[in-house]
Amino acid sequence: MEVNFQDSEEIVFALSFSDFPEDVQLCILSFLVPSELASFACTSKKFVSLCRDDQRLWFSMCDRRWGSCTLLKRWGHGKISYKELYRILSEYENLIGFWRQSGITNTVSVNSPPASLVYFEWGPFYITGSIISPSKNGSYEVIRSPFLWVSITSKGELVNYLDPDGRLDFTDDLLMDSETLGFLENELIQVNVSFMGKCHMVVEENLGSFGFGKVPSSGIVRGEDYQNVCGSPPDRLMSEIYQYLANRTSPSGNGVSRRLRRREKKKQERLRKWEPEHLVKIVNCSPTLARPLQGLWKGICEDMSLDFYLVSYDDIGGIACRKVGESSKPLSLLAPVFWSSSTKFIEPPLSPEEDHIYSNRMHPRPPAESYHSRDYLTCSDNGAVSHMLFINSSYDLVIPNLAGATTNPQQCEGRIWQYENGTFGFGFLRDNYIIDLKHIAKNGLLLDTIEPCND
Amino acid sequence: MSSTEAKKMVVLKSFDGVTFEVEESVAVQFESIRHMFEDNLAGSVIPLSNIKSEILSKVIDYCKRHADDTTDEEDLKAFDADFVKVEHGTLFDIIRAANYLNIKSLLDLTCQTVADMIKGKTPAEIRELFNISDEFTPEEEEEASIITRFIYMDRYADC
Repeated sequence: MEVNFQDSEEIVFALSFSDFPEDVQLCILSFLVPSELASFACTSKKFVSLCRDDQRLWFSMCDRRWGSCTLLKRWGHGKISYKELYRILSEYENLIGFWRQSGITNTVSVNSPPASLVYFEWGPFYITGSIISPSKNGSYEVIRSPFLWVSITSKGELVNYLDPDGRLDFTDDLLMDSETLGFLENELIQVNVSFMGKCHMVVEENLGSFGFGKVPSSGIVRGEDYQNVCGSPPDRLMSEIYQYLANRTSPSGNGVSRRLRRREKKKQERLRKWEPEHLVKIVNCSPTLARPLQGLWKGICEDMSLDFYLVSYDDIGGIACRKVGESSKPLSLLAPVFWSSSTKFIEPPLSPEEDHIYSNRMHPRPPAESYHSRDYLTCSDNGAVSHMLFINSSYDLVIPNLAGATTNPQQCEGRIWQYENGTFGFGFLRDNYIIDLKHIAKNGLLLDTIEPCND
Repeated sequence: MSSTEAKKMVVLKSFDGVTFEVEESVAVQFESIRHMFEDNLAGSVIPLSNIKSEILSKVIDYCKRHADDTTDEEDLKAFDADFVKVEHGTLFDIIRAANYLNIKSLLDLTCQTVADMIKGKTPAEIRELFNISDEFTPEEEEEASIITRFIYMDRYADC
């Protein structure tokens, strides 16, 4: 590289983008988002083509955002443009994280898995949704059962497959190849995943899809109860929407819509394999400095069963903790496990009475751990207590008419003990236990997962 | 490497004749000239004929901080943030040096800084920033603006 510095002295302070080598220009642009890139492309004709460089620019834009999460080159069998991939991934990365089943659901018993807590994560060339449920073996382990795959075909079409029984193991390229999926049609359901805003999504069976139109032979078919899906449009309207979607996404040729119309009649008689599932994102699922108790936790209760808890802060400075995963009711309708109107921690040293309340308690532990020591450890292995907080187990106390009348304060009063390692445990005066809570996920990774055991 | 062991040094010479003696552990970050001192040309001076001493000393400073494993991550972030708070001319020279020496982390840091200057600006402001001569006629510009915005923005309304 020959640079004449005699001349460059003058232009050094007159910044010029074009003076950079092209790879430096591309490196700078790769830090922009599309709307900023658009503004830049408007500045000069020669930059318009630079901004279209798919292999270099759009690839590094994708790489900067998702390169560490997934194998970009394998999405869509490597046959779609990175610009298209960028568009798709920026929409679908919103899936990543925890979701819970929302209350809008059918009251008739649903044979599909109760999607109470759902976790979406990056795979090599797809995004997987798994149902997360507590293990029943008395340990802190959680069962991860993948049931939904979101990916794109080599033509850039979105494909989402649902495996309601968790029978299939999708780890290779077979998945998302529509030609080879024919033989799986009885086991898989093709679904549409649509967002309503950022925090609400609906997983609906794609009834407009070809090749998935047969009545399934598997045992997941339910009766004719799909007429009463609450929260969904009437079935008639539904099929119109599906038809619209089908028209939009299938390769359209002459006669397609006529065929569709003919199929529509059949469709109405057909049985749906999957009820529309509404999921709501759990936005604040990890603690922050200002909200150290916030997030998703798991703890072993006195009956040795593992439960999931969600601690949330409200806008007026209080906290509430609810169990997640056993009911599909909206969280706000669920009675809290504990709550407090204030998050003002009490600093040690604790008074002798408080010390007594804490130190005489038992911490339920997995049998495997307690086997080596005692049945219930009397102290926590999370470090010393660093903070304490008063809590209540019932809202009753704040309702004047009920206060004192029905509830004995001793029944409801409790404490949170926060440990040095940042986790915490809670207990109530009515018993002698502390339920110590652990993270379900840390830094975006699920902890202590086991695969579901298939019969 | 024990502290008593003599550290292998590399001598670099800038465009304006100033020599810098740096530890090899620092100089290995200069990917593009790595082979020159790894070929064991002990004692020889490596000329960097297109980097001014002022810029080279900054680059060496950066590499020293990043070669030091004991620096904690927060400190390093603060150092990086301070490091790019320089005049645009100097920043652009550092980019050229980082590109020439192929120091990826420094190139990313400085390119990100330039990208941050572009963010939130209108095309006219960007033109002014980078001295881009206006090649479009007003009609062409209107058209280009409409087309590019159509291509990029509408589809990425959330970005």
